[in-house]
Amino acid sequence: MDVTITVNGKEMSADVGAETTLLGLLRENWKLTGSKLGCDVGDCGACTVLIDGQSVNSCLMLAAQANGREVVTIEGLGDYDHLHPLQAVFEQESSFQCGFCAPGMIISTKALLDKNATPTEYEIREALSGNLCRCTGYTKIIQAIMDISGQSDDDRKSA
Amino acid sequence: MAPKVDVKEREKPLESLRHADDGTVPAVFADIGKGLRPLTPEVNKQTPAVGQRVTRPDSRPHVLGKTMYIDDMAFPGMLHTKILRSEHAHANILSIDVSEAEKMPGVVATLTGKEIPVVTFGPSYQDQPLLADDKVRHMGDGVAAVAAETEQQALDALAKIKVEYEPLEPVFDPLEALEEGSPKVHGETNVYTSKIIKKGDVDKALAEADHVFERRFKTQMVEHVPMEPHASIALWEPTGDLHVYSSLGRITLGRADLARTLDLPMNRVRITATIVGGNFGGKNEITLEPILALLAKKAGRPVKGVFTREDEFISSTTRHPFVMDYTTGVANDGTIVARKVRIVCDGGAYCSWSETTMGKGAILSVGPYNIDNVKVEASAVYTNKTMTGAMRGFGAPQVCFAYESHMDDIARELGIDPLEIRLKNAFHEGSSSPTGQVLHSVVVKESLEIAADKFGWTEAKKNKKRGRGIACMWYPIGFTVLANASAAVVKVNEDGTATVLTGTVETGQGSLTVLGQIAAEELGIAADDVKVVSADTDTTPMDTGAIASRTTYVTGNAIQMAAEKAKDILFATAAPMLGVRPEQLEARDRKIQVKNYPQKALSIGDVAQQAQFVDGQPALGSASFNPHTVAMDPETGQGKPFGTYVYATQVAEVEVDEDTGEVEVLRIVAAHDCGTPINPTLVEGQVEGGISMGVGLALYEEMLFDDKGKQLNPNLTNYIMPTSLDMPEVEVHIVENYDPTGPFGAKGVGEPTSVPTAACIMNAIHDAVGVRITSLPATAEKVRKAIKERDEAKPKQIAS
Amino acid sequence: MKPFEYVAPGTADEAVAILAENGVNARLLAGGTDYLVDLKHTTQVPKIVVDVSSISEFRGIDLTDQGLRIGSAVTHTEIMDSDLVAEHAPAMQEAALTIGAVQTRNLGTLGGNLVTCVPSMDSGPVLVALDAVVTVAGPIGHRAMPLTEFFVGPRKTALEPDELLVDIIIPRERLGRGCSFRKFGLRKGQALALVNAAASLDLNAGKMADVRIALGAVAPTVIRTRKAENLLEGKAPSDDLFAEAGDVAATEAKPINDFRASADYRLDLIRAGTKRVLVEALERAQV
Repeated sequence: MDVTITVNGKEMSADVGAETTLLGLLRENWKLTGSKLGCDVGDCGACTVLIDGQSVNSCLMLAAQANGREVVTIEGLGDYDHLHPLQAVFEQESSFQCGFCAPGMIISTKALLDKNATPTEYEIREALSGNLCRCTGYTKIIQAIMDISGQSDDDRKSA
Repeated sequence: MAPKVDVKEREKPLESLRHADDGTVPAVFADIGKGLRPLTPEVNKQTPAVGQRVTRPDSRPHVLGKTMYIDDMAFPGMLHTKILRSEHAHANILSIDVSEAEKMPGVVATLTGKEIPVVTFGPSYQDQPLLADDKVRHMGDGVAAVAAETEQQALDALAKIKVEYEPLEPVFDPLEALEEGSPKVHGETNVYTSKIIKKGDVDKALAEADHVFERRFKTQMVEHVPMEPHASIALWEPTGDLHVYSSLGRITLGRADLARTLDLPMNRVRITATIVGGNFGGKNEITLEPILALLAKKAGRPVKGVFTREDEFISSTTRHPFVMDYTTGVANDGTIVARKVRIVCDGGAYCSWSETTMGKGAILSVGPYNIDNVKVEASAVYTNKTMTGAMRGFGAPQVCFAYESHMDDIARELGIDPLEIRLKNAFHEGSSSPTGQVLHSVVVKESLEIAADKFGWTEAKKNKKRGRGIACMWYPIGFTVLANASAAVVKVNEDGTATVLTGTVETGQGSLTVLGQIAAEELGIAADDVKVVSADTDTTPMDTGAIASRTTYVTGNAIQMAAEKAKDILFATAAPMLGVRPEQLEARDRKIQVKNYPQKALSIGDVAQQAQFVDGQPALGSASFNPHTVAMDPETGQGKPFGTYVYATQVAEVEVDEDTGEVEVLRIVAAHDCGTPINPTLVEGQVEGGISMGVGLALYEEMLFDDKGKQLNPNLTNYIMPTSLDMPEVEVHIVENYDPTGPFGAKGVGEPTSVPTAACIMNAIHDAVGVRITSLPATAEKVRKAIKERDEAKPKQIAS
Repeated sequence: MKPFEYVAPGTADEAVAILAENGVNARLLAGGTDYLVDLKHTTQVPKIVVDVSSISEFRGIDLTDQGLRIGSAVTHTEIMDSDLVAEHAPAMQEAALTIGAVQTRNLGTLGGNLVTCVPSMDSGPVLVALDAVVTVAGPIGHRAMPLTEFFVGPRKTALEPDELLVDIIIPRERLGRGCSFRKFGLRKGQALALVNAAASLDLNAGKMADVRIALGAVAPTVIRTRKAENLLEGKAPSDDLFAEAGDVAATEAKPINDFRASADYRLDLIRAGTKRVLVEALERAQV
């Protein structure tokens, strides 16, 4: 079946089996390998993308369900010479280690900050609870988000 | 509470980043008009490089989603592989029929064990088959493989493979496996390795001790859960050479294993590792690689194999469950006079890294304490469960949980503060270890004092329902006795930048960044000036791998030594140019200059140019390093098994809900020794991450098996690893130290980070609600049950 | 996944017709966060997957004469963001927050959660405690039934193969009352329920009225613990009485032993949970 999806602002079409997941379409057909396959059942969040501004696990969505909608992947946020502010702060604070969870984590962060520009530490943890990370303990990721949303360490303590 | 990282320390205010209304901003650090030169933060350009919070060079690809992991790679004509796994925990294989599978749509090749030239491998004993051909010993054993055009086609074909099994009686409990009459997993006995460490006269000392404490402790099987599943691609070059791309964390060993199992010479086998999405020990040995190589040969096309998340649980290595019996003799004043430990390690179906885990666990099991009379007996046994192997800590988290829980029991019984009793007994500079090794760069007490102080150990509790617990540990760097060398090559380019070649693999810990800083320091240039090339067996020199927390120390030393040799060539070139002797020169601030005469200097680029193009002596150095060890006596275990050790303390604060047993860890304060912190940010990252694994081990994670040996929770839905909501506040302090045997005084940090966590949490639970959990994980159910038992044991109080 | 066909009908009638035509060979898809996991693991995929997520009759949150109406294809995030739900049935938002993580809630639907009908479902207990009623559409027309009757057994609802869940209505008289929800799981994030507890009540002249206690994950479906309710009905509230209610509720549940927890422990959680949701429901009734 034909699916047409606006990906990172560009309209893209493909003819795929209905059983194709959105993640499969992005990675295999369109070579957008930034979104990762970590568990295939929506537990780890490494496949997180935005659909109409909301974060979803693309491994648990049929490509057909995204038909006619807008998808944003990590590739849509920035490139080497133009980092998105989120990418810049995570880079500078060395928030990620192996990097596998990074795309999903960054997309989830964007979804959070787009809805709530000054989240409390609890709200950050809650928003990221669908993105598993084994390397970092989440500490520097959360710290970077507190920093970029203009919150000091004191704000953290009082939250 | 002090913030864990001083905001002022970050060298660039973040004001400039907050453009929420704009989709993109120019890259952070300078105007974009500089053209093609990559823009990096100021700190990456500082000299000297060691100690700087350098931004990792792989950060940018990570945040862009551009880092290429194996599964992101594709080659023309590439096929996909799926592995059929055993239906039984223990069975003879009578026949394997792939004929129907071969006819399925899209299938290009199949493989069974008998087609593999040398089918077994293993780091100690080669007892593990790549594909089982005569016997299966756990349900994760691969039995056959299929390569097809798509993954679904490969899966469909697996369903058509017919395997005839003759089930055998399995054994699952390690203590049962010790018994004479139990089913045998391999050969005549299930005990395949053991170790003894003896010092002094433990029986006499126990008999004479004022108090004797005894307790059994148990730990569970857990999994590494790297976010990236194991993945490899195999292809045959037109020259007939094999090229494998792999998520392996140890490519020198990987190449040796590939060459051996495929009966190929090593120079015809090439392994390239990319950035690995998490290792933690689980990617230390081959899994799919030879299978893919043979399928690729049969198919005449590249073949990719990626583990499913379920494969990760059922067929990759796991952490050894330990059963530990501790008997400790203590004097009235709290001095420990004797300790006896018996450890049974559950080895699972294959030996894998059991020798090392058992051996290291045994050495560490005594704890970082001065105890004159010691006896440790450890053994590893086979069971028909998922094979246990290398996992972050190699036995240390298990034994630390035991000895530090035990220490608290002793402290409370004798009415001594848990911090005081540890300070009383802890190692100091020059202490003798249980194996008789004289220890240097010892900072256990410092780590205890710092962690306790930063935690507020002596402050009154603000909330009486909270509990606090402390645990300290020691951990070695490098392999147990065995040689574990690293070689390195450092090239100074003609413009004064440098390229470093290392066989180590970046598995996320930031090793390449740290190694670059070490090279930069030696050459007097900045981190930014060094490119570290890694992980290709054809182009980078041997390295024993990202294991045993050895990379900073061993590979770092090799790199420092290689850089020194390259620098010597620069000095030899610059000396006549500056009219001095080479010994009078130093490398700093990107210059070769005369010591004490900064005005007499040449830029390093000019010297390198001169060396290469005028003198005809390119500034290149190669070196290798191996930690200094002395073999352990087989009867007593006495020897010098490691080059150096690190020390740490963690303190936890918890709150326990008595009605439900739920434990909330509120915060953990950690004080870790790593020698000189080459990059403090990366050290913190390792501690923070290690603590999350420690929290998982303490409270949540466990691989569960049914009575047939099938895993009940081989997925991330039911294998409970900490999410961001489950992690406490973590505060990290680096203990100041300098180890003269390490590069610029550095040691290592990767594994020690998750070692004391479970213990300090268990001690905090005990402080909060007076229950001692002796088996991990301390699930809410277990804690609740212990609380009920506590209440039943108390004399009933009259309600007021 | 093995191949299947996909269709996204625009109206309930179209959807019903497709179901009638295909019978058991058609399966419904709303958010897909549960169903896609099944599809990935099953050897038998359906012939056709029917995506009902954009059928307008199944969407929207409204206050009607009947009560607070929530379409079956409303996502958990929409419930959490809804001012109407915040005002009239805030406990539903507390329950929704415990479902999976943000990504799950953005796609997962209330209807999907109810129709999948696993005993550990998180949206059921509050709705049962608020006497919710569901509307079902079939070839003949619409019919309504109490949610408690909609749940038949594990993974089994009262839906015939050619019927769809249209919406869920919390009756007017149950809006705004004191209601609380508590979930016990093995960790805080992305937790599956070991035990769910919900309670609601009114307070009239210091006496509890129309007390409802609902438990999840401790019986084949979400259940009301009527003996515990009867213990409290018409009485003045007290901590001791609530603790007793917890003990009684535990006798009405049939928790199982599984690898996540033992039945005994689940009983402990029922006792603790029932008491806590009653205490909180009371506090909210007093506001």
